Amino acid sequence: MGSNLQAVLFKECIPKSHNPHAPALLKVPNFTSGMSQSVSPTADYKLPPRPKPLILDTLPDIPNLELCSTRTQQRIDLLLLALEALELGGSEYMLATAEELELKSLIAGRVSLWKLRCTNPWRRSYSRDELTQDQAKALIIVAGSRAKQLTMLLRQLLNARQELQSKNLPLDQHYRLSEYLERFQAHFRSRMNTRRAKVDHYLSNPDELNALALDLLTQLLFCAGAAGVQRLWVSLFDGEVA
Amino acid sequence: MTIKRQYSLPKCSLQLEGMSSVEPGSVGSRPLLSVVLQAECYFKDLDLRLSGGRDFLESLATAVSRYSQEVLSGVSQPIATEGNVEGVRLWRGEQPGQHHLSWSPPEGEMVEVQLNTLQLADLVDAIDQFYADSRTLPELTLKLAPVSRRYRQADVPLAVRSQPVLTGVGVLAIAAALLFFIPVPEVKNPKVAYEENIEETIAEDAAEDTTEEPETDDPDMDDPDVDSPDAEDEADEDDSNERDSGDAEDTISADELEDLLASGETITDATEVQFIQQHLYRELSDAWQNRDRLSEDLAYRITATIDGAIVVYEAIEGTSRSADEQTPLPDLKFLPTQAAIANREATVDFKVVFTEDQVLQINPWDGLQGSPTLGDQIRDRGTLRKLQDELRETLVKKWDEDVDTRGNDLIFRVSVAEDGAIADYQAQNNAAYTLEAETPLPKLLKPEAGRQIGSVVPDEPLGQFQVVFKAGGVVEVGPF
Repeated sequence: MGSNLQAVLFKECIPKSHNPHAPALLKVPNFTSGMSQSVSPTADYKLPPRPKPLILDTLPDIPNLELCSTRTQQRIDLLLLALEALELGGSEYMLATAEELELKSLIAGRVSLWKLRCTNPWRRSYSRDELTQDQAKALIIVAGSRAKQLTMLLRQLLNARQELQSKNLPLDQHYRLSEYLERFQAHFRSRMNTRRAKVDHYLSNPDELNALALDLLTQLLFCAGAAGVQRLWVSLFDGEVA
Repeated sequence: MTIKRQYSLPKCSLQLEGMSSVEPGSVGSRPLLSVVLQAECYFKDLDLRLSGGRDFLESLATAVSRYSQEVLSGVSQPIATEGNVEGVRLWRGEQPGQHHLSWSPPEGEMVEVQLNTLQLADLVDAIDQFYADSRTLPELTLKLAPVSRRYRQADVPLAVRSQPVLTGVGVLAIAAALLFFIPVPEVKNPKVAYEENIEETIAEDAAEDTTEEPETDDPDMDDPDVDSPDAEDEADEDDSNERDSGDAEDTISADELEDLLASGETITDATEVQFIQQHLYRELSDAWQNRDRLSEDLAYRITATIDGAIVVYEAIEGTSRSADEQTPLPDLKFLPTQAAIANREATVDFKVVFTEDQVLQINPWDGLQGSPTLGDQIRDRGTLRKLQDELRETLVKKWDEDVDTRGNDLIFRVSVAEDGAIADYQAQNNAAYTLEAETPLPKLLKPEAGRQIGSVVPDEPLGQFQVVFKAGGVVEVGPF
């Protein structure tokens, strides 16, 4: 009986212990078939990750600022929330983008991303941590990159809003726009702490929550511009510096 | 040679015309535009062209930069050139997603246009592309800096934020104004009320005592006498001494005695009668030996004075005159002195019955006029507590724990003089009557305590206590 159980455990252990090698083996055909993705067969000799990704230098350092303020953290998380509402599986795209931009040292995975976003004081799971400038830069770069990908959708939605507004029609007349607003509302309701006065205010005033969601769309649209991400980054610290 | 640069976006395009101040370095490279002759901003949807020189371009770029940051962060920064209507200005529209742009050229009319968010975004993008172009006016680059917190508006307006403070101050002021009219409560000294209460309760206790007294004095009691020989001897000695002294003095004749009794006053005060009765009972009971000799009840009418002395007795209800030899009466009869006659000493009559079943009964001949009291009582709480503690100590030492109480508690009223001597006691239940001799009380009794010679009525205040003897040497002492 005991030996049987051991055997079963041993069997189960084998694939797990070999698991790390499995992707490498699978990637060899990709490499040989000439895909653009460059995977070296000598993956074991990977260089250690850079202490600071170079892409962070595209955003200027904010002088005399150690850690981000709660307001900055809240705005960053809301931008990411808007992105999630824009496309299904938004957070997966964010992780993929982070990896693509070599930001893995700052955004290692799902949990890491979630932890960074939990610095938003409005969240139910507010961690009371503070973002460093590099962490905030990484999140904004990812958000800007996603926004560039979604430029067409952003323009479409904002255009629809413009038209509905000029015709005095309710916002839910446009299918794609109402879908975005509903999803944003659902995300906001499920993740934000209703005991916060501001959150409660938004939840009891859907029009204001919609206005917030549309404002976030505008911010994402600006990101799509040539220097949009820089503008957004600097604007995050408006009113936070001396 | 004129150089044209165009930054084209779906809703807005920016076109610059200028020339290079330097010769082109090498063929093939983009020429450097260093002098702007004309800048034109064209909004396709509106079919509107805004144009001007380098001033227009710089003003437009600065204004767009500033305003886009305001749109992004929601923090509006003041326009540096307040009041200067020249150049380009941008400000928010009434509705979200609406923006206003105005251009006041140095000569000509001011142009104002309303932009939507997409047009603004494209304008910003066009400006950014121009800034980013290193071959067009390289001295103009994008300069971004966060707005100072001086310009940040609070999330909640001041009026709303100050509301709790103002409400609090207002409520405090109203409460203070109302409380001003409420008088300061008078502080009463609680000690006075306390003492009054004590006196009342003591008075009540005394009243209860007096009402209970007749019941407890019911003469139809069980046999109370199991005498200790010591007490008997003492009593005998006392009696003989007094009698001797009486005999030594001038005695009175039978006639004089009759005259005294006829003309003498009668003691009617119930309290005095009560004390005399108790004294006689104790005296007779102590002196009554050989009780088993009686073959019938012997009844007598006796006359006693205030000092408890029996001055005369006569057989009544068919009791033979010679039967008194079987009673202690002859030993206890005192002849009154001449002084007593002179003072016309008051007397009181009792009916005494020595029953065949060895029980002594004494009742006032004329009954009790009113309710008897226990005399003056000690009211000082401190003294009472001290006496109570002393009494308990004394009784606990003497109370034999081997006495068989047959499961009963022996309850006594005990009167204690201020010096701690037991002046009087009285059994309060049958068990106490029966087993009185087993208690330390008879030995501890000092009848003279608290009173003057010549009277059985105490003239000093006494402390009244209830004493309960229990099996196993337990003694409880409390206020009576």
